[in-house]
Amino acid sequence: MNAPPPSLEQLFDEALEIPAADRSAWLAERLADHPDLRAKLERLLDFDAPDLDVPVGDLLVSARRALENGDETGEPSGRIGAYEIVGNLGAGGMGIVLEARQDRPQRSVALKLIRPELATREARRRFEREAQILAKLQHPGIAQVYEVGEAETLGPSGRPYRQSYLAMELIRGEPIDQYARRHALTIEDRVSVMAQVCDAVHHAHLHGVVHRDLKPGNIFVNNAGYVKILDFGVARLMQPNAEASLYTCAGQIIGTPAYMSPEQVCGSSPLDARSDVYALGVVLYELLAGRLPYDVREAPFSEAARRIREEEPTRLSRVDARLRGDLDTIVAKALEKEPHRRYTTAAALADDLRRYLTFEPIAARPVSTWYQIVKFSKRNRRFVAALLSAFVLLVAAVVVTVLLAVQSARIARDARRAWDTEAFQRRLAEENLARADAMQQILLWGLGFASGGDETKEFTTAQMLDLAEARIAAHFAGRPRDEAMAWYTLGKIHAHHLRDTIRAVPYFERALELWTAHGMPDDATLVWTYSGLMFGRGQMGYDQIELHPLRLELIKVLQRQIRAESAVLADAVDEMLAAMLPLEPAPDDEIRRLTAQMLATLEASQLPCDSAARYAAYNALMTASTWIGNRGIIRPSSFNAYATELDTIEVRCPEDSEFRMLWRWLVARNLAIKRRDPQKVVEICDRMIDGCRRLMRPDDFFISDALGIKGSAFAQLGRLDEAERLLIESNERLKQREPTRVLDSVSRLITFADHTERWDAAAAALRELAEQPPSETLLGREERLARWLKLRNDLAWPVVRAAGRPSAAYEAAAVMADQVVRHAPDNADYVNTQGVARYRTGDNDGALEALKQSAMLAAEKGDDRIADWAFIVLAYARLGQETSARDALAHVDSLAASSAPLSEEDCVFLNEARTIRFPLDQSREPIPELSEPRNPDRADLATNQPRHDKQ
Amino acid sequence: MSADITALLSAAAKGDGVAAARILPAVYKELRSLAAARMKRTPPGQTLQPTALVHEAYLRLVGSGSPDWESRAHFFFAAARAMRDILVEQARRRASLKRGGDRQRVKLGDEFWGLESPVEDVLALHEALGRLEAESPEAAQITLLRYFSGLTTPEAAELMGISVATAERRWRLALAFLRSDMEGTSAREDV
Repeated sequence: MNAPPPSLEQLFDEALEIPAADRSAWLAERLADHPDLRAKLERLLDFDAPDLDVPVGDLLVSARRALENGDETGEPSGRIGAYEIVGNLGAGGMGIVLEARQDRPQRSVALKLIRPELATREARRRFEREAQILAKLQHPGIAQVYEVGEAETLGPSGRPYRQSYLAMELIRGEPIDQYARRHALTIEDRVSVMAQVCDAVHHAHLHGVVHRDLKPGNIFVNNAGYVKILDFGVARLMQPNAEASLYTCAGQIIGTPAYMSPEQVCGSSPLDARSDVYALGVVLYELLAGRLPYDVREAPFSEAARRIREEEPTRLSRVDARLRGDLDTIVAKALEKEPHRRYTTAAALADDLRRYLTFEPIAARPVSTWYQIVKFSKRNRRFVAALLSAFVLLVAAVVVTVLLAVQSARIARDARRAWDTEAFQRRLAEENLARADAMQQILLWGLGFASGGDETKEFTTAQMLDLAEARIAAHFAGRPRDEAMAWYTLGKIHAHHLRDTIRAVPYFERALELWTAHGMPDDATLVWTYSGLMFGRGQMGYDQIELHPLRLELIKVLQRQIRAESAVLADAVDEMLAAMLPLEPAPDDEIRRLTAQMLATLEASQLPCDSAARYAAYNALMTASTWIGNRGIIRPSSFNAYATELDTIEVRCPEDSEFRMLWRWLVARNLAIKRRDPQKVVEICDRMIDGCRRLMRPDDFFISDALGIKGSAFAQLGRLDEAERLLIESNERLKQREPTRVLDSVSRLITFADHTERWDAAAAALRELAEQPPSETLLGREERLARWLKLRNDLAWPVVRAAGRPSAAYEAAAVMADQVVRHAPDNADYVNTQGVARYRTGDNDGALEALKQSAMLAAEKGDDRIADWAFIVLAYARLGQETSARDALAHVDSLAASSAPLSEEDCVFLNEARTIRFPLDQSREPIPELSEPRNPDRADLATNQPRHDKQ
Repeated sequence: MSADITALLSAAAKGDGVAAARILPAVYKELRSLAAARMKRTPPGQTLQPTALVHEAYLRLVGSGSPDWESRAHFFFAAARAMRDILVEQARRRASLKRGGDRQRVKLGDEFWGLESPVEDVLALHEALGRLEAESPEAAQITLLRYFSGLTTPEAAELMGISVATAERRWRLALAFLRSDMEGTSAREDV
């Protein structure tokens, strides 16, 4: 008679108490009378695993994979491949972790056993590939991955199966939070340890590995006191297909919500280094405050996710008043919801932590006047006392410039990370110091002058800068590199902040001179200098060939930045530039091919959107493109590539940068000049205006110009009222801040009027421009003056070539033509414009005089033009000189007969001249002086081009 | 709606059998409408998690106060059952759509849930759970609570009125059982 069988639950509980090796014997004895039950239990134990933290999805997949592979899971026996199992370290997300001894080399390792569900052939390959990358991560702060492999091993039931494993450096220590508590670390110690953590994380990021699951449990401090980060890239190893997703196939969550970034909990975008920066921020917060920014450990995931996405964490300073100030700011920046508002790299976070430790001003912090004042106060009490007096306006302006200097170091910092040599760091540190010193000096001069005993005295930024200009040379005598930095700083304030690029030119030139003699500065400074010089000289009228040497220098620096991060990309850029930069660039097709190749390489390199190299690569491309673009080489077909690339980067890198603005500007402007796709132009302009408003001062050139470009596009779309309003606004703004750019906006107004016959604004703008003589910088420089004159003639001509326009427009054009002819009396085209303009204004004698002159100038070159003779006919006719008019008309007719086919313009003039009927009526009635206005024909808006194409 | 459930839960907690019987349909209805509403706002390609839904339903129905233990237990047991029913119903519907030798895995998610479990897995798990109930009701119950209500083992232990250690052992048993059981059932699909 058999005893009643024990329950399965009871038997299972008992079996768990028995060591795996002894289970067979125990089963045989315990269930000798119940063979069925014994088989059932045996099977159960075969499928038992100590890891109970199995999401249901894994379970399901596990079952299927186990079947496909005939694999089993369970505790390993005493040996796996070259490793002897010493003990159990616990269960992790990926399976169990064992302590083991490796035979050769002799060392202790942590052996992670991979769950069988990962063990399909494809999965193994992928796993190995990824593990190879991890194995390359060698940093004292990262637990080293030694090997990935698989070995034949025995399951608990004695059946052999293949076990995949990962052998890693065995860390003896404790998690960072525990360590900090147990050693009662001070705030400074904690910050310092976290800076170490950031360094290690950054090292991995440089190798393209994102941790994805940073938390105190993964950040160890070993017995020697060094930080060791565990499980780098393991989260990805475990979830290779879940790039943006946290969910296993049944919707279970992996990872630890408390340390997850907003983008991670909503799974909306691919994770990058900045997700790790966020997690570092959480860990830092926890270390400092002793609690989590959001206590979501108990909350259901949906609630945790909502809070992480939506709620602002309690500021550190509210938790503990000692954490007020910089630490609060640093942590808040790391915990920003928008990735692009966080530190872009873990290195930047580390930098700020170290700055905090050394009482340097930190980089984090949006523009905040008060903050800068407080920072300076620690360095110069007297200075601050002065600041706090009545010069609020001055202070605000000045503080922003200081901030600018601080921010400009960002690119340099990125580059520093790439080079990371001690010498470079030292030099950069010196230069930053010099820059800060120069800034402070400029401020002090201003304040000294301003206060001068009278604290209520009004004082402007311009005055302060003038003062600085007068004193720099004497103050920095004997310290040429510091002096160079001071000139540079002054130049940068003018060029990038006050946007007076011409004024900045001599400062940049002086700085460059000093650097050339005494050693070059860091690359970020050089980039600003070269581009500032190019921009300024361009505004002064230097042409593209004159600017080319600077362009080459700039590109050299950019290439250094690229090479520091990616040699492959640098090679591709080299090749592209070699085709673009010579005086005779390669054919379009070749340039297109190389550009595509470079962009593909850039893509494949997976550099983050804000990496210095990526920035530099695009910058080089754009710089070179302006070069060939100005030589008329970029045709619509190749230009499309740039427009398409803009679309691509708009999607991939949503963050705005100044550089993005430049890109948008070039694309929008070129599309508008070619009168293509106005709808798209409007969209680009809107993005640009929106971005610029956030990044730049409200009266920045880019905004003003974008308004104008958008206005032109609206005109093409037939939205004339909006177009006119925008064109006028753009012109007004440029007039205020960018006198050298007004030509563009006036030109847009004229084109608009030419097509729509709405002349009021165009006439006024043209008149205003016409009355300004050429600036002194142009005089004596023949080539530049010639360009200046041609552009002005190009404005006057489209106004005068058609009849029936308001007299204000003709008068403005006449003033412009007079101005042009005064400087170039021998140019037949210009004198012709002048003659036609005079005729249109009713100055018939003046017109005849000019037209005869232009006909003569043309004849000297063997040219005989309808544009001269048609108007000679008309002028004679108005003067009632019938014989002369007849003769002239006969000449026009013979010209027309001999020079067919006639240009469109000549046809118009011919027809206008042929309206004269002989004998001339004394009443002059038939002479079409102020006939009914031309009927604007909008259908020809897209094709009607001015005679002189504008650049 | 919410007030009804609260009333039902506390009535059931006081031993009102009729109220207890009405909890399940109420929770079921709430979960369904909640899921439908969530799906509308979830971008295509993203998934809903059943456990998150249960928790959300809990917050909506029971509120964030701390109702008595019995009410909580009733809710989560009901929710787990409702969720299991919903999933299985969905899976069956999907499975009936694929006739004959169509071996392509149909995702559950596209039409209603956004869940990504293959149909066969859901049904296999459902059947395996049925067999587990016969062997060890406690193991089956803890599985339900963990998988379909999204509770942790200690939470489940509290609701079931057993120790955490026991709950863990039952859970381990459940895992081993389900793994071994499903190895047999999934043989059907992986020829």
